Amino acid sequence: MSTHDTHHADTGVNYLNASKGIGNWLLTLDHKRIGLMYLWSVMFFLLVGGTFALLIRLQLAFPGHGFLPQTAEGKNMYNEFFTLHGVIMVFLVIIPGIPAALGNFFLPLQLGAKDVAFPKLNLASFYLYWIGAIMAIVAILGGNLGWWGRLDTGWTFYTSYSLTTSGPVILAVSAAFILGFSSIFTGLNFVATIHKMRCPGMGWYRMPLFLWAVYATAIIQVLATPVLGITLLLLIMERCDIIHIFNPAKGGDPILFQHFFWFYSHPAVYIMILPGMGVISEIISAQSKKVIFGYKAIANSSIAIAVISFVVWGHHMFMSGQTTYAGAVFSFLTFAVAIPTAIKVCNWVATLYQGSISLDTPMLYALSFLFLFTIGGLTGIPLATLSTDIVFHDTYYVVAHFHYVMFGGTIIAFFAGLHYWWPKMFGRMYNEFIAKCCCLTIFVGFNLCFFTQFFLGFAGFPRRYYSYGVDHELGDVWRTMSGFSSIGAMILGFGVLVSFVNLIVAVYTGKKASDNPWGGTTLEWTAATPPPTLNFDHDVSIDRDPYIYGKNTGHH
Amino acid sequence: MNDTAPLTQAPQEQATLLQAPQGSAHAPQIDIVLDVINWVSLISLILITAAMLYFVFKYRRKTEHDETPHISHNLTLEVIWSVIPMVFLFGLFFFGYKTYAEINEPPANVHGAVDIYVTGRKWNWDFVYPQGGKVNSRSSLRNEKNTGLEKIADLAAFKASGKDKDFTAGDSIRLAGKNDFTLTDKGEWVKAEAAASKKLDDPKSSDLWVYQKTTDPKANYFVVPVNTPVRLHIKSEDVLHSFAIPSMRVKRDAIPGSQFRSTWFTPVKEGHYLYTCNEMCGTDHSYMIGYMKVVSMADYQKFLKDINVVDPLVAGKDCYKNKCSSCHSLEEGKKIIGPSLFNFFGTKHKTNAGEVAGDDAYMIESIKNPTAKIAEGFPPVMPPIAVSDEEMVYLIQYLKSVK
Repeated sequence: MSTHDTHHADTGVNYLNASKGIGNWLLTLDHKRIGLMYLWSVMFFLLVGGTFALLIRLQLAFPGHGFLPQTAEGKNMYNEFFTLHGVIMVFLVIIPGIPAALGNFFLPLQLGAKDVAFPKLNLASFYLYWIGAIMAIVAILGGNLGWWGRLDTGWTFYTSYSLTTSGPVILAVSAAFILGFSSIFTGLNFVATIHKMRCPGMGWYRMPLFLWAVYATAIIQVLATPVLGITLLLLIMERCDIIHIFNPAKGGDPILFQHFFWFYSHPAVYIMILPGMGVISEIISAQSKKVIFGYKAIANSSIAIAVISFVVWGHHMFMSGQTTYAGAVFSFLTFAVAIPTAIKVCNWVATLYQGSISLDTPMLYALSFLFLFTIGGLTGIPLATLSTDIVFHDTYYVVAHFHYVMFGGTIIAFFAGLHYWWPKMFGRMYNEFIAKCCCLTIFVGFNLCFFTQFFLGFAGFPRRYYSYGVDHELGDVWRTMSGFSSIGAMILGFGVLVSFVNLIVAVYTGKKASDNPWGGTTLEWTAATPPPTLNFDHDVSIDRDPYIYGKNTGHH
Repeated sequence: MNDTAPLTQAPQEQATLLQAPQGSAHAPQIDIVLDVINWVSLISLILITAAMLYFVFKYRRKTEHDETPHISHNLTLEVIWSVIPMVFLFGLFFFGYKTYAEINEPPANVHGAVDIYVTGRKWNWDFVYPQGGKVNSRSSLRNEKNTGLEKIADLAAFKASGKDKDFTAGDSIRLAGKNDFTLTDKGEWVKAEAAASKKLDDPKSSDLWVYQKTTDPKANYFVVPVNTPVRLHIKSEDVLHSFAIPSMRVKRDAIPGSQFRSTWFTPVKEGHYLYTCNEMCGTDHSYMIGYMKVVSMADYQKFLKDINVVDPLVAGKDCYKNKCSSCHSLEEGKKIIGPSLFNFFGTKHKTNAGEVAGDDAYMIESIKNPTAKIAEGFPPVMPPIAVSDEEMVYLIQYLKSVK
């Protein structure tokens, strides 16, 4: 089957209008509706988390004291800001962002399936997501209403501080625990779906690369998240004085928590980035009308990353008094995980060669991803190198590095995916001119915000500082770069906000989109726009590779 | 030490965008690796970006019906771009490892090395000099013996002098070498735990010593001599902290528990250098900062004299007498309730957790968490003993001196 011979009976019935009423949405088992509900949630929390980020940058825009009162209350409020920014962005935005929102929507469509393997489990994981989110919100509100202290541990919940703060650690940690289960359920569901529900003719190496990425992600979710769950339970028990394994005053070891925590959270970094890589593979191929270069290398490197990511966690503890020997092992393995990532970047660039490259909004985001993610990857090298990590550990260099990966990588890929698939999801086209302007604004704002932070790191600016003086040998850099970073953050925030408005306005007033606006060859483009509840109005099977652009392709 | 002395006036090297001042002997070693990484990264970034932009420009879409070639892969190319980064990265791994191995664990014996015990707590640092004396990052230590107040012997006389009006909550004083008092939030002077030795028969006993709380980092620097190896032994009293001196390329987490974790460096330029706390520790995390002042050896010796309020061996002996001697003798083989501490260091001890080397960490653990390892043949009856890190430094020195 090729893209040309599909004709849909235009009945006007699709998954959006198949049934009406809030109840039909809240109890839906349709993966597309669940994906959409995830999407609105993720976009909402992205704005909330982003607001906290802007407040942080506002506070640090100038040396001396920012807008927060210079009291214990003001300082605790600042600590709350960066904790909430981290918790919301990691657990409520980036981890579920691409897999649970876009993945949910497009995984069955790309497989040629009617739904995921376990639709009820899918809905359950959405509700777990919201239960976790509400617990986190209650924890935040309670801290502000004086029910308990403010949540101020940072998203990592490091012991011993998390054992002693008056903040709602137990509630917040329980929220993360429940969000973990949401993630595990989604992962299980996707693994089962990919194993069992590929349409006839779709062998493993005929799957679109987005699915390979989601598959690798799902494996990490299923295998690593339980470790986080256990760690968080142990933390709760320690705080309730039931067991003592982290508290040094009672014979425990606070560093053990870091080992447990990063055993999950380092693979989680790849939970965050792998789906983004999948999106980029799709877009680069479709927008340059060219078969992806090195399909197997990209697919297999996803799996390689997933496997190696389990054995690099110790690089978060080079400064903890870990033995030199342990440091050496973790440093070596960390370098090993960099290689499959480098391979992917080279493959994407090579795909452009002799292509027919359009510069539609999704492609602009994808190109911007390539640039930003490359910086994110390269700036990881000094953190993996033992001696240079001494300079950068727990400074703004680390902040800049992981924002280049998490925002420059994952969030930009999320935006790319949104603009790529939005017409398919809603049957409407957004305003291309505004979307391109937003992409450019985000690119400029992002680089101004975060590239400056590398320089802050060279000058030793520590993370999580409420304010800073400049009367010392590092002060000039601290002053100028913090200022530029804050300006960049405001530009970035503006760009994100406008691009969301542009997308949402399109749902109501955008011009009608065709079934396949970008000329993609993966199966989701063969479905009607927007797709009907059961995705396809015919039985789907394929006898070809996912990407069939150009000469000498088609059936073989 | 006094808090009014101006900082070094000599023009000091400032950080550039890509480099903090190279204040220690090993800083250039780290920076050269960093330079190599930065250059190679920059070149890689330029190559990738240039290729991308070139392709985008050259192969931009002309019509909707453009035909593209089917290039599925190219083994040679793929091997090249896998192997080159691999070789480069593993080379980096080696050079990074080399420097790290040198400074991560300082050798036990370095000729002429200066030892400083750094203890972090919410939210200040103590710098204890084993020669006796300490400075604190939030309070400047002042000797007021020349103020005409040297006869102040007790709290009543102190208050009568009117001097107490100068103090704010958190300040501590030492009166007549006997008692330390700290001013609380409620304006009351209470007995403080801070003294190394409460019954110290100190020759300077008529002095008034003041630990005055301050948020001015310039007022409370700690001092090290130039061109001399400095070993920092770092620990925390409460939660995790991390002690960093960016211009020295030194950083080490301060971890609560019984172990000082060490790192070392050799400062090569006189001047003052910022130190920071790099691990989130609560409200005043960003105020756990101050200066390290690098001075000549002569000035360093003078500084040691200035801060020296106790003789470490006397203070250590005092601590032993008050807190240990009722159960532990210092005579070889003499048991009271617990084992003799004679020749504790440098020998092996049989415990229920196997054989343990008699070192600082085992001593500290035995005091703070006595049931962790029980010496063979003794009942597990020892309670945890409150010994401050400062006292601990003196106590260990004293025990080591008894032969």
